[in-house]
Amino acid sequence: MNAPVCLQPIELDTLVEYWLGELDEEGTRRVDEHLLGCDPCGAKLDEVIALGDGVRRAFASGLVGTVVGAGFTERLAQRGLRLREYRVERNGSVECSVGPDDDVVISRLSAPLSGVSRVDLVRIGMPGEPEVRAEDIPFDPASGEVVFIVPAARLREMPSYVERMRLLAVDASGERPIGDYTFNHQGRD
Amino acid sequence: MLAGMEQIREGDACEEASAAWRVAAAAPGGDRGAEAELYRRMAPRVRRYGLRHLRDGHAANDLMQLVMVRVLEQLREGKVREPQRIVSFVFGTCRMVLLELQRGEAQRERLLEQWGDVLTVADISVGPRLDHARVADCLRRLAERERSVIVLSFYEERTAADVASMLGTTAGNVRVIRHRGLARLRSCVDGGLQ
Repeated sequence: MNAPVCLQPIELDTLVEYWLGELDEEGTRRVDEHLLGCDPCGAKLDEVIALGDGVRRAFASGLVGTVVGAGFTERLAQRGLRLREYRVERNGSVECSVGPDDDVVISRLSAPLSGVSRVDLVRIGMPGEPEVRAEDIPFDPASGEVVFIVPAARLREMPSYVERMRLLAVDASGERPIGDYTFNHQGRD
Repeated sequence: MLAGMEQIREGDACEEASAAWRVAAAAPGGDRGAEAELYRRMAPRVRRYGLRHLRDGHAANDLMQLVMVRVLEQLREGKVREPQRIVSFVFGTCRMVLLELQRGEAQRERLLEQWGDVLTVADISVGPRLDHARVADCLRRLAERERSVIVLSFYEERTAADVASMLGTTAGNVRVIRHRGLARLRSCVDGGLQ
């Protein structure tokens, strides 16, 4: 038996918009009705749902970190997650660790971001390890800080070490340091 | 892009229509094969509708069972005037049951007691479940901005406008980054780690 084919498939972007609630009422109704008659498009939506579910579980398991924005960390606390939070002043340092019950570790880097159009984050690891540069990270200039979630499960496995970070403002004329930040991590050793 | 969706896939809809006709034409409960066929085809789609509108797997299962019981009941009793338009009928039933569930009016227990045998006649497949460690590995390979947008979009199931306000950018920019990030994430998860 031939696999069913949709003669007018819904684009993946539209399915993502549908799933995330971005379509208006009429658009949602049309996709609802189409999906009730179409297995190929339904299977594509299943992929979107599975990817979203995988992202959610990967993040909730502390396997992946990322830069986040205003309000996100507050909502994590409201969801009952246990947060450990470190705020580091510009050119400052902090003693830090992760506990066995911590779900999420949050780092807040204070920085003057007003007038900055692009920020790169450089992580300077242990001696002998190469620098890792994350280009064009998301940030809200009005917030005066860069906030990122550290993957707690991975951090828990680390020995004691010092991690240095640098924020750089980048524009057409070049780049300049905004601030340096040092994390003295107390590990499991 | 969305225009004309109602007209497509007529050939495929024939299978559902055929099963619906057979259920309607038989004595009540007389064609269990047709009922099972209709259930097998429609139930996963109804469950998807439930997931989208109720955002919860258990609630989606409840909606799926309630809708399918009601559809089969109406077909058995000859109350579906156009069995060839069964997909539209199911859609209308989905909307009605969704409202009842949201108002706490749906009488699930009574229906399941009466129809439990029908609901067990056909296994249905639900969507795939990915290995989250693999997804995490693929997420780490994305650019920081892509990873941020993907996590913020899907962890809380937020619109592009919501994510844009968190990151101090525009919804259009978030959609562009999300499109690119999702393509790379799918490619990594589907094709192996690169």
